[in-house]
Amino acid sequence: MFPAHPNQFGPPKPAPAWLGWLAFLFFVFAQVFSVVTSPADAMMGHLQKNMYVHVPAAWVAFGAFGVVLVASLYFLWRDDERADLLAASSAEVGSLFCGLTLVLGMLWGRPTWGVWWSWDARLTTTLVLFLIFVGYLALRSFVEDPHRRGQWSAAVGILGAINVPIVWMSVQWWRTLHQIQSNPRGLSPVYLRGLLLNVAAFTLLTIWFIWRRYEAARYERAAEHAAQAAALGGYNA
Amino acid sequence: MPSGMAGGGVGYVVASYVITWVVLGAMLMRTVSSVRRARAEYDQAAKGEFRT
Repeated sequence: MFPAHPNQFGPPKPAPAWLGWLAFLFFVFAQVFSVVTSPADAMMGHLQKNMYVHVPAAWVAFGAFGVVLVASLYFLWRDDERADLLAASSAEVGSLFCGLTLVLGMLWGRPTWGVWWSWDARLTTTLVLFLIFVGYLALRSFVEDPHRRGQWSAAVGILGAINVPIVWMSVQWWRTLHQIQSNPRGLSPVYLRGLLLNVAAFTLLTIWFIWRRYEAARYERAAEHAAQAAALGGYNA
Repeated sequence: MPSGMAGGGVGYVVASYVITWVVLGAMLMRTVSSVRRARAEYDQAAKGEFRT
């Protein structure tokens, strides 16, 4: 039996509408600004502009998996289902951005390295990270008992999040085709501005996505509990 | 400049941005519709609960 919690199954606090509009408009601004203002790179030409989507997508995916780690640990510690729902929402958004990172990386790799894919350490560890979280989401759809689903997915979520530092350090630990981590200090200000703007825009968008997916998950669980209570006549007793 | 980057790789850059916008647009639609659907389900369940 899942332990009762005072406000565990009540309706959630909705994300403010202004946050969604701010995230969307800021994203449009950051994308247009960075593409228009950054000149073609001497070596990579306009391909350099791939950095404004590939790098922010990777960073926010790592951040979302960090949220999965914290929420999963909290769930295992306190048995609070809200933490499990937050972890699931973050895992979904993180998986989306991780998949996007892989595709955008391939679109950069083909003209730069001459291949769409290489089994180098950075690409392979990122693919493993993506597959772990696809497995996490699949696992959640197979297990019906909320408590068991929370425990099993927390274990997978923690395992997946542990892979993030391995992905990050892979370019240092092994010889890879992929260049070392993007370092803002090594970038020209004209490119740095666009990168930071897009990182901020992607972060805002990620927060809004996670909040709204969490909101939907809370409503779904609240509806299930209300239906169960109605079936048992709990409120008429 | 590598051969695949003739024209500065503009085609690859355009593809990157189109894919990003399509994926994020789809996620936006999915997110907004899932909240609406879940909220409608909750409202319906809550009403049913108090009628019983």
